[in-house]
Amino acid sequence: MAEQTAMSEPVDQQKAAAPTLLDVRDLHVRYQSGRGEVHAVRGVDLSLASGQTLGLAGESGCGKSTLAMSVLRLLPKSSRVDGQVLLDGEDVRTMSWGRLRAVRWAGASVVFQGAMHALNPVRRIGEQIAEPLRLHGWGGRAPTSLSPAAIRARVAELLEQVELPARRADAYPHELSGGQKQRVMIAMALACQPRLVIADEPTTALDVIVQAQVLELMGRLVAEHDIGLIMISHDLSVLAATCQRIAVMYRGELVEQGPAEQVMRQPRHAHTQALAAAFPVVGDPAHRLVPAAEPATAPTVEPSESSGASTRPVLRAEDLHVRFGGRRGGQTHAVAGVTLEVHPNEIVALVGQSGSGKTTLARTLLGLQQPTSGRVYFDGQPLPTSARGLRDYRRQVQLVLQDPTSALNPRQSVYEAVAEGLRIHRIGDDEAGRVADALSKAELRPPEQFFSVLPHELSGGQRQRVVIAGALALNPRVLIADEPVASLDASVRGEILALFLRLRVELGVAALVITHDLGLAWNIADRVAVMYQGELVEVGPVEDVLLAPQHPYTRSLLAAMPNAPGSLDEVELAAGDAG
Amino acid sequence: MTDALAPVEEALAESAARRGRGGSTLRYVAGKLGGALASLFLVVVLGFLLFRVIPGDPVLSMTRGRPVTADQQAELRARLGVDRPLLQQFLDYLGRLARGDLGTSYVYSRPVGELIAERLGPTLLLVGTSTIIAVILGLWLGIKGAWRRGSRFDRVSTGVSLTLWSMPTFWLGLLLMIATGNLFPSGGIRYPDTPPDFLSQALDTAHHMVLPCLTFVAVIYAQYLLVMRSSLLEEMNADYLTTARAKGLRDDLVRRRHAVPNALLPTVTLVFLHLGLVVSGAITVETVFSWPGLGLLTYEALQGPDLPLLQGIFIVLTGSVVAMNVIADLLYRVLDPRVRAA
Repeated sequence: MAEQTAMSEPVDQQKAAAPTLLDVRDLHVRYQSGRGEVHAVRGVDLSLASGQTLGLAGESGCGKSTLAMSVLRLLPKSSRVDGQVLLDGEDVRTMSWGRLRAVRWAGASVVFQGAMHALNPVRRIGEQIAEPLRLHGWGGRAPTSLSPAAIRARVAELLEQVELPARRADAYPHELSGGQKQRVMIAMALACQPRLVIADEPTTALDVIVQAQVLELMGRLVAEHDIGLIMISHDLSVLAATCQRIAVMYRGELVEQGPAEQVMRQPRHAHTQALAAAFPVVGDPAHRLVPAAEPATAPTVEPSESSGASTRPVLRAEDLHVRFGGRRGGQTHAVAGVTLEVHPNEIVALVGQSGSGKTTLARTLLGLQQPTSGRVYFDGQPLPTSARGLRDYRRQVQLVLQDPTSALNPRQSVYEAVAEGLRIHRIGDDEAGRVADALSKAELRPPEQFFSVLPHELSGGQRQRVVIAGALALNPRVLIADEPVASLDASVRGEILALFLRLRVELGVAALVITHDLGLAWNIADRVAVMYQGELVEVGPVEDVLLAPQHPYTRSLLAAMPNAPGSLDEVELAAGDAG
Repeated sequence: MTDALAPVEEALAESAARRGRGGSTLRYVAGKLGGALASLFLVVVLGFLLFRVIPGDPVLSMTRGRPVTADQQAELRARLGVDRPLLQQFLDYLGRLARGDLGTSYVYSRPVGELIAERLGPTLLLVGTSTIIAVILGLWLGIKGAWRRGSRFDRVSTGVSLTLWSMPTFWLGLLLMIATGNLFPSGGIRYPDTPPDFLSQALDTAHHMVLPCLTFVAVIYAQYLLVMRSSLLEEMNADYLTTARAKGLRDDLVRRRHAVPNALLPTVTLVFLHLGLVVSGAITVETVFSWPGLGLLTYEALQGPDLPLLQGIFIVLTGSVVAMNVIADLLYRVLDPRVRAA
């Protein structure tokens, strides 16, 4: 690993022209925690010339955020930092508090994951953007010389730069969409005209199309203002779309660094290869029905023959409508006339943006939401309406949720979590045997070892397997999975998808997988249904829909993927159109 | 909400649809007030039933130790109205209540409303002053403790507040009386020989208030401290605080502008919930220091039992809890923009 770390690529032609903006030398960060010392960053060297862009890739816990936060000394007090962090030649580690506060935001600013909680919920966004302006001024203007009107004008100008109307300054964060909040974060980061911007997972939790817009905007602004950018992401393709160089971190060390194109296309380190393979290229036959798992665990699968109308569908929705009454008489038509079939031994991917109605559709299929009109059939029979009938039905159709950490009760052992369904359905015989069986089907082997384990002792992937085991314990015929891998690390993602495939092949469990990720559909699905504003705009075999999309919405979804087939320029153009 | 209010709500909703945002505020306020009225009605019903099931014959205890004949007792019963059927008594009670008449005290033979109004002032003075001091002290110590969690200051201040919180109020009061010697008066609200001008009256009252106020604050400030401390601790790891630090804000500005406004949200509700209850919590303090307030009046009424007086106090106290709840709900809406939108 050591020789690979030293393998910085000779991209120094540009570097020689521009002065070094950030120079990290032999950085070590250690956290003091209750369970002893955690060595989060282990001897990282990194440099960035002004105006350059660098992507920092890696899985959760690899130390990439720690590295980035150490640039502004934003780490918690329990951390110890060794080495050098030179920002414009000045060591951040030895700055006085006053000097550090002056450098923060004015010299280097951060774009946090604004879609979540990086904005203060009880203050207007205009005030929050104005706050650093009042503190640092901008463009050589001292904060003392600023009139309120000048600040207001600057806030309006910043909002305009990120393509938000100036009157949004009066909005509170909760009144904005995820993409808009991210734009506010970007506007805020640019407020004091810093020379370096650090973007920490700026597009995670955003939709593909919104993600493309935000990436495009950020790339453009950084280039226009000649700002150095460090972008952190777990998704290599996102970084490749925005950054000139990519550095990959693994367990606190830098394992590979080079031009984006090269890291993406010819990864050298095994971990980079795993990261690059985790997000499949739609259209690449090597990834079709082969999720990126260790070769031994990936099942060989032929596309399901039943993916036509030849067999009787196990689950069928007929002209389903769901409307929600608005408070002032307005109505939301969440599901607008959906007809969809899931056949036995088939995986159907339901794809769409957030707000397209896919989760409402799934809830209706499970009988958790009453349809306004239309019917759901299971095995040819209409869905029962009695509580008892629904309980029997839900034994056959099980739900797997997105975030296994919140889906599991933190105080319940794995055994309890899996056995709960059995107890609800009063399946008393051989409970331990059934739990063990379900766990081994979910590939937690040997199952007995996991019985008494609590969720926090498991990794993210193992937790999701426990959730799936809980569903499998009841021998369901259909699994409905809502974004089953969206909150998992890249390397785990492949394993969980492989599990769905194997359940289909070996047990014949059909699945309806809800996702915003077309790559997932390409990985495991037999058929794909594209949902847009409550309607299914395109349904068909994966190859047909994804390789020859008919509906413009499907095309824009495909174009918004950061690693869409074709050159990066094309992607940016398409994203620009979508915005 | 009760069904009786439904037409009102509908009318409000309609006007809300016409006027948009301002209307939705009106609708919210109307909804909260409707809920409060419904709870008040329940309070009135409960107030009646509760004091009919407690044991003890008021006529017997009123005439205890006096030479009265059975006829005289029966006459007294008829005058008080306690010989009539329960339902009839209830209707009479409702009718009087509607006219603002809380009945006549058995013991004092004066209107209950008048008695309560007379005692409300001293209680509000004592409880109001103590609560304001306790809230300010509690919030300030809570914020300081949470911001430096686990520091010596935090450990000591939390420990002291919990110790005081767990002390019996009467015992702490007596202890303070003994400890301060003759420095402060140990009972009453004013000396009888104080000159009648405002300044000397006020100073004398303040002098009398020191000990009861101190006792009260010492016992109750812990709850504000603990609530503020824990809700600030919950905000301590929030991402927007990292944003604020990254912006280059000084530590105390991060705390004042970003952390505290968010942490105050749950605290405000709890403070107002407590405020409603605090009046009744003054019973012990007022009894120990013979402070002529509602608490002392309650204590005296219980000895009767003076049913109309107890009933009246009960309605006033629970009514104040309900009112404080409404204020908390409305204030929360002002403080948290997210509630405004919902």
